[in-house]
Amino acid sequence: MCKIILVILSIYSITSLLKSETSVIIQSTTSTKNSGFYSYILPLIYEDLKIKAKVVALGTGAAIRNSMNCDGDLLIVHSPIQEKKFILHGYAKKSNYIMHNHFVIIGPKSDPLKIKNIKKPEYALKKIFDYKYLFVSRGDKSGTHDKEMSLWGIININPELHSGSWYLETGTGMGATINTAVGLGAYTFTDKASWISFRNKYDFDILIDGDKSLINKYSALAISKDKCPSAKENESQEIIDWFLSENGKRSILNFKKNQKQLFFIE
Amino acid sequence: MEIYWNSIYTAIQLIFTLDKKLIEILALSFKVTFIALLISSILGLPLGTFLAIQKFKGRAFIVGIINSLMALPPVVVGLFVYINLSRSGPLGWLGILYTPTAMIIAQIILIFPIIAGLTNQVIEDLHENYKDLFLSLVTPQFHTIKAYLIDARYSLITVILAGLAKGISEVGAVIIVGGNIDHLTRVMTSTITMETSKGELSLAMALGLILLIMSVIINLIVTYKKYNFKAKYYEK
Repeated sequence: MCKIILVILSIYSITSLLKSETSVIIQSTTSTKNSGFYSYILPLIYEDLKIKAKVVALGTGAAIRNSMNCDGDLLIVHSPIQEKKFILHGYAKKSNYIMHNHFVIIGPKSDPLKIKNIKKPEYALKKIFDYKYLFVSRGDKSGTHDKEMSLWGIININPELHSGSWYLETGTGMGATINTAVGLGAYTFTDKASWISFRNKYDFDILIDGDKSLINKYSALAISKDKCPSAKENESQEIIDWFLSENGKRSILNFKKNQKQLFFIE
Repeated sequence: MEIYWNSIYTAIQLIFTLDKKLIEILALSFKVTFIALLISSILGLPLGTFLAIQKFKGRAFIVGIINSLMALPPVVVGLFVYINLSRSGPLGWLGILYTPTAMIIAQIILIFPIIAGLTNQVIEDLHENYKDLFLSLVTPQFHTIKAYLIDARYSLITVILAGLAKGISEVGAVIIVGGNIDHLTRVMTSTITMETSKGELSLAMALGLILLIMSVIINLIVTYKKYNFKAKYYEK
């Protein structure tokens, strides 16, 4: 009896591996995925274009690295600097702006350093630096990390020199970093989509929000066939065109999480 | 404290509503580990036995290597498999990155040393008692290996369970080579990692609880069977 079950199980499992279908692989930043954006938008895309897409969610740095290994067809990220490099190396022809939201600085509601009324985010960071207050950073070359580093750059501070004392680099995803910050009662830098859809908020809240410099632009790049012959460039371009169409824009704007709109279009 | 109750409640809810998504990822988890375990056992059991009974130059070295491979961190294995299966890697033409097949390959690399290494140890102990007998009967190597595997079957069940435990619990390898793609390569451990990173701590904990319950059920069934069979054969 046991043997028969074992044989049936083996046959079933091995045959089920053989059937596979082709579809577009999206190498994506985590914030779009963790917010449930793809679960909402991919069925709509399938309805219109009959293209199936699979999403691998990583930090922008890792997503770009994977794409440079040709392990993706469409790249959706939010780091203008890294996108530029990607195009410069010939992996994509163009970076297409599809939507944006904002970066924010979050921390305990009690706001021990009273940074809440500071307008410019870099001045808030300066205050954190002056008081050597705990700050948790992604430290993983993601789009969010790039933006955070550029803010430190404005005030000429290299926080990595203090890594391990008051400046803590988790080197992991946004969620793990917020979990760490919440656990330590530290300040951290995140994007609004991740924060709104994050559930373990505890006593944390957004402290710095709304400055123009904090805009967070998401772009889509079709991976070029010239560099990666296996890439499904045409299908990827179709998806990008869908995002840029009126219908696509409306769908993006209609996406809500916890009753809040997550992504905006200029 | 509340999180404990929340996660237990969520776990019960998921189990009793037969949540479709849960069943899907649970099934994939066991499918991947089951196939990896099957292949590792087919290769590892005979190899471990062979290394225990055959003396040759370099045996100690091979056994030492296998034993140290048991300590391989899953992420390293995942990375290794990723590099090879990546479209820019040597086996990229296969096109199996981000599929369950890639996850199975990674898990075989993780489980095989455990099966081979522990089998080797079990049979070596047994060999002490029987080596003169087999020597006097001049049995061919193949039959000797078969006889040892049958004789040691109850100890080897524990070896296989150790392999199962390694496969079902690891996340480092499957998340790199599988990519945690919804409806395709999402398994229990990678879902737990993802839910944790979404801050859904009680859901993540509930999934962990369900995985634990499944492991307990499997281990109890196998252990009961083992004792029943033992009683039947040895204590007539």
